[in-house]
Amino acid sequence: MRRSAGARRRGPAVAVWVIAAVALGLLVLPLLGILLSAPWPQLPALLVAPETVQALGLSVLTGVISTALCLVLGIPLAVVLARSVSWPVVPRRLLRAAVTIPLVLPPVVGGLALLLLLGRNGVLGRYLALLGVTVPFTTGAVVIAQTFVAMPFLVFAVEGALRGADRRVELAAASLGASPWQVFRTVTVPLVAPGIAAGAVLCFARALGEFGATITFAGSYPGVTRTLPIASYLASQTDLDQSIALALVLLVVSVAVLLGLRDRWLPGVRG
Amino acid sequence: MSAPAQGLHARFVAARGSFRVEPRFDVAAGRPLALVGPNGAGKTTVLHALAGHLAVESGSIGLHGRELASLPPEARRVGVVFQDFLLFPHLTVADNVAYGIRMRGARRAPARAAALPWLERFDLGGLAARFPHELSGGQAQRVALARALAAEPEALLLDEPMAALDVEVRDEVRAELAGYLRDFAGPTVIVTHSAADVAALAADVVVLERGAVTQHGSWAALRAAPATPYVARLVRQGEE
Amino acid sequence: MARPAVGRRLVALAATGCVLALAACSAPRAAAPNPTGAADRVHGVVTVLAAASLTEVFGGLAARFEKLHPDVTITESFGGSSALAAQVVQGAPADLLATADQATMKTVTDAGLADGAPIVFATNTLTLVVPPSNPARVTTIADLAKPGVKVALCDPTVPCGSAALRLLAAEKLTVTPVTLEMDVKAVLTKVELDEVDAGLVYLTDAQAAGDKVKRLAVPGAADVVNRYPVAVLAGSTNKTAARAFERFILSTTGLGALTAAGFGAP
Repeated sequence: MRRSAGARRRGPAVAVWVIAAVALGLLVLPLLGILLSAPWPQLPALLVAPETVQALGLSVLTGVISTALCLVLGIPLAVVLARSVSWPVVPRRLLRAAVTIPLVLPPVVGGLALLLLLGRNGVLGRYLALLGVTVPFTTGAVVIAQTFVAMPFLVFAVEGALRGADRRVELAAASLGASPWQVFRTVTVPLVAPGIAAGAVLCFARALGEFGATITFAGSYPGVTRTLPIASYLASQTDLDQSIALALVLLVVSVAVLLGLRDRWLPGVRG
Repeated sequence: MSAPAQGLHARFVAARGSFRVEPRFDVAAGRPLALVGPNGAGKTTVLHALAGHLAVESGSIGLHGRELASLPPEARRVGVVFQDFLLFPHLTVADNVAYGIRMRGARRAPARAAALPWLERFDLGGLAARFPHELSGGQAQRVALARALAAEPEALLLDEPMAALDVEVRDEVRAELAGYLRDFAGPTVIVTHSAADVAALAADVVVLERGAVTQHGSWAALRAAPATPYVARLVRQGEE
Repeated sequence: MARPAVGRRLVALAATGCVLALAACSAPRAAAPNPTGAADRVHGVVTVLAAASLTEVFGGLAARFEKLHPDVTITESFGGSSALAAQVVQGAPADLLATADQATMKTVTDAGLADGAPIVFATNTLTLVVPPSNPARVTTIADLAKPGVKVALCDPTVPCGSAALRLLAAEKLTVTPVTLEMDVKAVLTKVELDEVDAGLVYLTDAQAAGDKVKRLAVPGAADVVNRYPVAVLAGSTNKTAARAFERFILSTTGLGALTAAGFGAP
């Protein structure tokens, strides 16, 4: 190796470090801003305030249910998406585009779309109304809105895990007497479990932070549909301390979820 | 003379890209068959068809009187040792070996207990709690073999058994493998392109070139009278 | 020698260029608006933050003002008054603020961010709106307290919400809404989409919605009045134009447009 090649290599590396530092700053400094502006003396009182407790309980409950729903619905979709590589171009691209929709749609637009679909005058909602079922303004609507926006995170994470896994072990399992269902249960699922876990983490985090779709579709009522982000925004207009307290709770819950998980379940980290 | 019911009988047609693969051979227990041929001849196609991972277009695969061609892989009782071993990365060595026993209805703990003698036989006792990524090539091959045999198959297929191993250990591992194969009671097919494998492991040889059988017989017969240039090259390779 | 001669020419060119540039730069300054604030000298951008209920009226007034003063561009941002006031307090760059009640404006004046005293330019009262099909057969405000009637209200932290609370208290009604929205337009939308059975919005909003909603009279509403103040902000970078627009709002043209939209006199 020529010495000059080595010397040249150091140049770009420094630039990369600098830009990475700026990027990291962009991500971390706003959080620092919250921590520094937090009303620490008043925090305990603000944290046990009914608005805070209600919003936190609602956010965690709906977040968990939404994640569970994303898992149940999203894993089969991920399986289909992973298998779609053998499809012709147009159906394959359409399928992928359909899964990507909630990622590119502004959340408020998503909420409006859900309202027009499931509202009591909605395309489907009007039939539900005949059965006595109303969706908007219920906690269920919050779950639907969160599931809508968070599902792509789970689907793409699981699809990635499925594609990355060496599926040939499924052949080995079959030759050892495993039926297709047994192969799925004992080989396929455990192999993609880290990817599923990573997807679930992302999904939960996204659901926890959902705002626009929730407020447009489910409304905003304390204890029923007013999740932490909505409560925090509302409070920011009149009681900034309360708003920051709520934001801090959101921050702590998110970080706790991330820290409580094994390394290889984190998005982007492979076991 | 009609083919005896015992043993493995392959007479079928399978598609492989631009041509058809049409093997015709019989394998008796105790006389392992080496399936040789140049790259692209269709050897792997034959293996996959025998294992059930590939559907045959026509013909039959007989094993001890049963017709396999219409059966799914899990119903065939044909064990496979894959070229890359394909051990289950999320299971320990013990659980890998016990897998076939579990799939036949045993619960986890009894299956692990039933797998112990197999671990002993293949000298894997000390590795029972290890995971596949912690094993050497030779150890992984033993696990793959133990796993296939613990499921008590009626026939055994091996795909390029030495290919995934370092060159230095091949001779030693090959000799061990020969010993294990001698103890197996069913018909064995070894897909290989290595003359050393043929000499050490097989009793009979079938040569496949572009999907068709160009020679079959014992290794000695091939060495004495190679029927095609490929066979001649293979024989020469064996003498080096 | 050849080079110094070329050099001197370049310097001369550069100097001429600088002089011309300076002359060009200083020219507009010489034509800056004169101290008397004659209206036809107003220019630049005016950023207006206004309550959601002012969307239609202020939108129209801004267009008319821009026609009268082609050098002025008015950019408007509408939303819940509390949110806008909070933005100003947090340092958002704006020239003019108009809120839907005086309590909200007070948060801005208390922070010392208003330039002079705010001026009340309009009043608004609440009205009851229902979807055109009136699915819950609502006829009076008392029906809002009936179980099973879905009501949308503004959140109490927003002017229309605190007004709604005052009105309901005056009528001695306990209403449990299904949602407490962040601004009055969101309430209106829910009623327009027939997702709720009734909502309390401003008279002006009901008027602006036309036949997308059905309006029901509330006798006691006239007693619950929201006074709308407007103020030029201390942090404004274009106070001249901002004050000109403020005067326009308070002129007969402006007040006429407000009355036509359903606002009450200040």
